[in-house]
Amino acid sequence: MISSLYVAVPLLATLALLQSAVLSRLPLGGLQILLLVVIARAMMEGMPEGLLWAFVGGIWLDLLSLSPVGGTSLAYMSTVVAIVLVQRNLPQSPLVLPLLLAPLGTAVYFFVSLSILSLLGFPVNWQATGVTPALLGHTIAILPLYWLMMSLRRLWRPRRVEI
Amino acid sequence: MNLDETRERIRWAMFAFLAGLSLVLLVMDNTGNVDTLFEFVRDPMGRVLAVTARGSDPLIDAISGPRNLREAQHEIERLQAQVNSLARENEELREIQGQYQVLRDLFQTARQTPEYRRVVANVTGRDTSPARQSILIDKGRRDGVHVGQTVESARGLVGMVYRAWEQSAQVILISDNASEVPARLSNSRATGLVRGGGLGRPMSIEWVSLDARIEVGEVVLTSGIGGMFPPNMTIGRVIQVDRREAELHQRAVVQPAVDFNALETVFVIVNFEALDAAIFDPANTP
Repeated sequence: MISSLYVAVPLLATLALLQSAVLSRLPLGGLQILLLVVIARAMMEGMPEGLLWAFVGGIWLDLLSLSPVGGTSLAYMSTVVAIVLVQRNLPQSPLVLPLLLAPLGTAVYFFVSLSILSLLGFPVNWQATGVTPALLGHTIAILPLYWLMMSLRRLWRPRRVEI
Repeated sequence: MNLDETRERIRWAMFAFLAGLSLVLLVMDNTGNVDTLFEFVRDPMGRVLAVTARGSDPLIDAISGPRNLREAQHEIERLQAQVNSLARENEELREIQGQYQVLRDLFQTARQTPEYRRVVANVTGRDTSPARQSILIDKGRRDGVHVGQTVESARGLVGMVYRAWEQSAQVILISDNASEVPARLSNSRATGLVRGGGLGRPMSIEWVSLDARIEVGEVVLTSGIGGMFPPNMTIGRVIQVDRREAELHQRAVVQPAVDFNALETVFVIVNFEALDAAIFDPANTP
C-alpha cells in the first residue's frame, strides 16, 4: 500500500491541477476527475487503498481551493467508506457496480463536503451546489475511467497463472 | 480473533487515523495556523497552474469555441473588448445621470473618476469546491499584490485578494456565499449590502431602506462604506425587486456585470489602501 503512495501523490497532484486549470473551464457540468479516480480506486482495491487516495487527493485539491485544507479529504474518505460498505452487498459486475456507486459516491461527497463547510461557519446554499449535473456527468464518465484503471492495473500487476 | 476481524479493525483504524489527521489540518487551516507551511506548496502549484492553463488554452478554445479560424477568434476578442468597453462606458453614463439628478451641485466632482494603479493578471485556475467561488491568478506579492486588494475586470468588480503568495494569488469572488460588498444604487442613491449567492444563484442587494424606490435596470455600485472597496465601481444591475411592506428593509436581485465563468484577465488595484479594521477593535483603543 505504501508503494502506491509514490504513484498516488504525483498522479493526484497532476489531476488536481488538471481539474482546476483545465476541466473547470470546459462545459463538462462540474466533472470532478479526482473524485471519480478515488471512487474507482476504492472499488478496485478496497477501503485502505481508497482511504489513502482520498486523503492525498483531498489535500491537493484543498491547496487550490478556498476551502480549509482537510475538508475535501474528509468528504472523499466518507465517500470511500460508503462505497466499500455498499459494494459488499451488490453484484460484482464491472458494468453495474460503477454505474451505481459513482452517483452514490458523488451524493455522499457533496453532502459531507457542504456539511463540513456549513459546520465551519461558511454560508452554504444547499439548493445551488451543482450536484445534479455532477451526478449525471459522473455516472457517464465513471465507466470509461473505471475500465481504463482496470486495464492499467492488469498491465501493472498481471494476474499470476500457474502452468 | 480471526483474520477477517483483524483486517476489518485495521481498516477502521486507518479511517480513524486519516480522518483525525484531516480534522487537525482542517482546524489548523481554518484558524490560519498553517498558512506559512502550505505557502511552500501553494506558490509552486500556482506557478505550475499558470503553465498548465496557458498550455491548455488551445485545447479549451478547440472544445469550447469554433474550430480553428484564428482570425475569427481575434475578431471575436476585439469585438468582445469593444463591447466590454462600451458596456462600461454606458454604465458610467448611467451613474453620472443618477448623480446629476440627485446631487446637481456636486456633478463636476462626481464625474471625476479616481485613477487607480492596476496590475494585469491572468486567471489560471478556478475553485472546484461545490460551495466556494474563487479564482487563482498569476500575479503575487512580487508584483505588489497583497491580501485585501480589490480585483476588477473591464466590466466591473470581481472580488478581493484572499491569499497572496510570491508569484500567485487567490481571489474570492463577489459571487461567493461569504462575500459582502457595501453598495449603493445609482439612481435612488440608497445603500445596501450586496451578498454573493454562490454557485448558480444570483447575487442580491439587501438591507435597502423601504423608503428607496429601486428600479429594475438600476446600476449597483460599490459605496466605499467600510473602506474595503473603492467607491463607484460597477457591481451589476437590478433585475428583480423584492419589496414587502411588512418588513423593515427591501432587497433586490442583482445580475453581476462580470461573467465570472468567462474571466480570463483581471486587474488588481494595488494603490488603494483598504481600511484597517483593527482600529475598531476595542482591544486596540487606548
